Amino acid sequence: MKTNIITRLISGLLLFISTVLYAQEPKLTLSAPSTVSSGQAFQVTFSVNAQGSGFRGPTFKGFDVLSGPNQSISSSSQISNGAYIQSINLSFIYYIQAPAEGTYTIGPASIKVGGKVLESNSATIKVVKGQAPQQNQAGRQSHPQQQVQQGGTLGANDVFVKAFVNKNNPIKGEQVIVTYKIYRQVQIAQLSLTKLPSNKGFWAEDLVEENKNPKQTTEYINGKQYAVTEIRKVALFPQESGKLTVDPLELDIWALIQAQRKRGNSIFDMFFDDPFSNTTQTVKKKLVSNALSINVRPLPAATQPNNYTGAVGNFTFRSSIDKKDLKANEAITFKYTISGSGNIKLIDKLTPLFPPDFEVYDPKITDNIQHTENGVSGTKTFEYLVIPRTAGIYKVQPVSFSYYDLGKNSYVTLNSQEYTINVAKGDPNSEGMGFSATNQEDIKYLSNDIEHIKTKPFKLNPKGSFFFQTPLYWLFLILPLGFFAIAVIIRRKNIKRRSDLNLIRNRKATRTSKKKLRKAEIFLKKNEVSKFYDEIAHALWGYLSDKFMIPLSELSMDSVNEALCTKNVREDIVSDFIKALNHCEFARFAPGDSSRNMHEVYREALEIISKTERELR
Amino acid sequence: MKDLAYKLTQILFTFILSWIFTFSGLAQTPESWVEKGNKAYTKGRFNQAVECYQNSLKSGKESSSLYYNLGNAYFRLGNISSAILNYERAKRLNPYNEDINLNLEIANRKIIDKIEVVPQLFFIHWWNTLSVLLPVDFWAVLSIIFSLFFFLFLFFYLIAQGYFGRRRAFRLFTLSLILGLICYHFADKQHDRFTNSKEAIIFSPTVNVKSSPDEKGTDKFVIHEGSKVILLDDFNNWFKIKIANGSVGWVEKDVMEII
Repeated sequence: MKTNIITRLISGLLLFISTVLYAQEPKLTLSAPSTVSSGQAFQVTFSVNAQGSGFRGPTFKGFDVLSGPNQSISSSSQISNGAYIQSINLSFIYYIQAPAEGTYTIGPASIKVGGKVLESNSATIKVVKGQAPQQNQAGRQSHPQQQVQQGGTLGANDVFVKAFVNKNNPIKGEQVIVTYKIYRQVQIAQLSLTKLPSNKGFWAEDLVEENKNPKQTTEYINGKQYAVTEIRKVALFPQESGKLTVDPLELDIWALIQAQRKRGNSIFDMFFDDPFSNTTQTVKKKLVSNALSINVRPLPAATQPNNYTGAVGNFTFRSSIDKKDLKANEAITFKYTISGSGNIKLIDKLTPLFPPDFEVYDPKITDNIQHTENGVSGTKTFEYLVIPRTAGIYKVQPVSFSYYDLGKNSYVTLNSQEYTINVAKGDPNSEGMGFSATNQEDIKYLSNDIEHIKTKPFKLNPKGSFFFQTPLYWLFLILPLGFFAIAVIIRRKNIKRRSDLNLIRNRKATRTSKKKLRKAEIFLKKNEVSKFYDEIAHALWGYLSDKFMIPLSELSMDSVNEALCTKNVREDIVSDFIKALNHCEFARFAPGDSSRNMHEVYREALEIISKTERELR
Repeated sequence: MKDLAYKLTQILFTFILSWIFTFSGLAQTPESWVEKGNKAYTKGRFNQAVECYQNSLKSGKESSSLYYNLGNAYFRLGNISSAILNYERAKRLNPYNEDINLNLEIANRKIIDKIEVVPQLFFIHWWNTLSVLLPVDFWAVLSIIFSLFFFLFLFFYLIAQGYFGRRRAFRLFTLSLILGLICYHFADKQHDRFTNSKEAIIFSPTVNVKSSPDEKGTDKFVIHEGSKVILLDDFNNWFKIKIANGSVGWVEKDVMEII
């Protein structure tokens, strides 16, 4: 019974331990020495027992960071009792150094593990007055005991930094590789970059960031042999044209030099300096590289394509599509890939023109960029998710991408493929706007652009030349008045002349009629009946026409009656006149007892004319 | 004899020279500049197009289409104020061209100021619309024709016999007189817009409109480039302006370009 309890207890305990093993809490721990001496480089490690990301280092107030964070990961897995246990140890190591004594605190760091942010503990470090700074870096431990003499001699030519540029006269946007090399005749324990150039006017990309195995060569300058190490390599993309300056790089180095014997400065001592003795010392020195001046040429503006956005280099352009036949409201992905070397990171947009009935989402842009010794290259992919909303056959115009080709020294425009998308009628019940006959849409105005210029030849007129208000205009305006005046004058004269004519006719009326009567008398005597009556009628009618200014054509019995009445001729005379006219006309067209009648008519006519004459006087 | 030969050569030489000059002059007619400008525009070289059109205008000749093309070239270059100025000049010469009015509207949508236009009384609006229906010289010719009719019917009136004839003639000459005066008024109104323009386009990016023609004057409101203003008065180096919403103030002369 008792043993039973114990075994149960033990098994329970074991179970507990195993669960502990399973649910190992991830924890970020900081380990650092509690006491260091000033000037000594030491290691601070943050370690976490889980896979994490987004490590954020602490602020090292009061310390100089020599290097770090250097990431190292170790993992082990084991299978025990059928359970798979994996343990991971991720650590971030800093090498730091305290320049002055005192008590400092290294603040907490944080890391994200499984979506949770872990914070480390903080550590207090007491810095005491420095002895020799300990050389902690591996591989440099050949001199375990070193004497330190600050301000030991280190000649200006013993160690220096130089910046090189592979191109002094690039075009705007072309990558320029700047290499910083350290030349040394002494051994360097360690170095730390204190000031990185700000590279104003450039876009900078570090090349070969983790320079684990720096290139090391040997060069002779002025007959001296130097060991040359590349310490930094940067690709710079000029963003503006003109003269640009790359600021110098500043760094601190700790050089190992032969310590001078304290005994005297005898020239012989130099000869007896034994390089294999342990009398080396570490000397700190600040190095400043040369500044570089780069003359950036502008891109040619005249031939620049409209869609050019600043890409310079050597690129290829591909496009792909995941399907060509689909139903309305289904998604389709257009993929445009630009690959090559150059300022690929700066290519930020493509402008594909999708049919207006397509719903287009913001593109997913993925970069895959490699930094190599020879510069920056890689691919950039634009993925457009597009949903056609209505059925139909659509053409997706090719997308063009322009760049400045450094090989050809000219702009190159690459076009993607044109795609024909066959969109079938969608499922009417599908979400979104289904296709239905009653769903009318307004005409979509795709752009609000101005109309094209008038290309047909047109007439040019002299500026500000108007006919209006010119003297000629006034003349034309007044001219009708002139015509009017002339017409009025002519009319006046005409009237006057006509009235003169009438007066003459009036005066001559009696004489003319008497003449005609005399003529009639002759015909009477000759007994020529028709001629006699004609003459009598002429005499009577003509008298009336002349006397009363009635045109012959308008003469009739009525008009005569009217005219005489208006002239205040006595009624009996009027009736006599008309009687005479009647007699004449009757006799003219109905000849009968001719001779007696003729005499009668003649006498009557003579009588009535003289009577009227008397009456009008 | 020798002298004569020398003189003859001289004359001949001058003749040939002048002939060459005339020909080279012919190669650069305003029409050829327009053609060059059109080609440059079509190829997308708008800077060059602007230069060509300007050269054509330098000849002292103009056309609504030329102003329109120049406006388009400026529009493409993003110079909206100049585009509006030239569209307005084109519109003045050809008030009812659809293209000109559309482009002017688009250009006006691109400027900063959105000035609410005070609506005119409908009959004033009709009157103004009617006045620009025909170009100046059309109205001028019409006024002459009506003057002719007026005197003709006046004459008929004077010689007409009988009551009805006189009454008809009276009506006709009165109508001709009224129509003639209206035509003259329209011609005069438009003519005034050309010879004594009262409109301008603002060219300075931002202009403070003052309450008085004085730099120390109080700022009344701010207008921006591309806005159209009506000039009411001028004093020294200042214009009294009115904008479409009826606000009035003073601005310096050099901030604008008269249409």
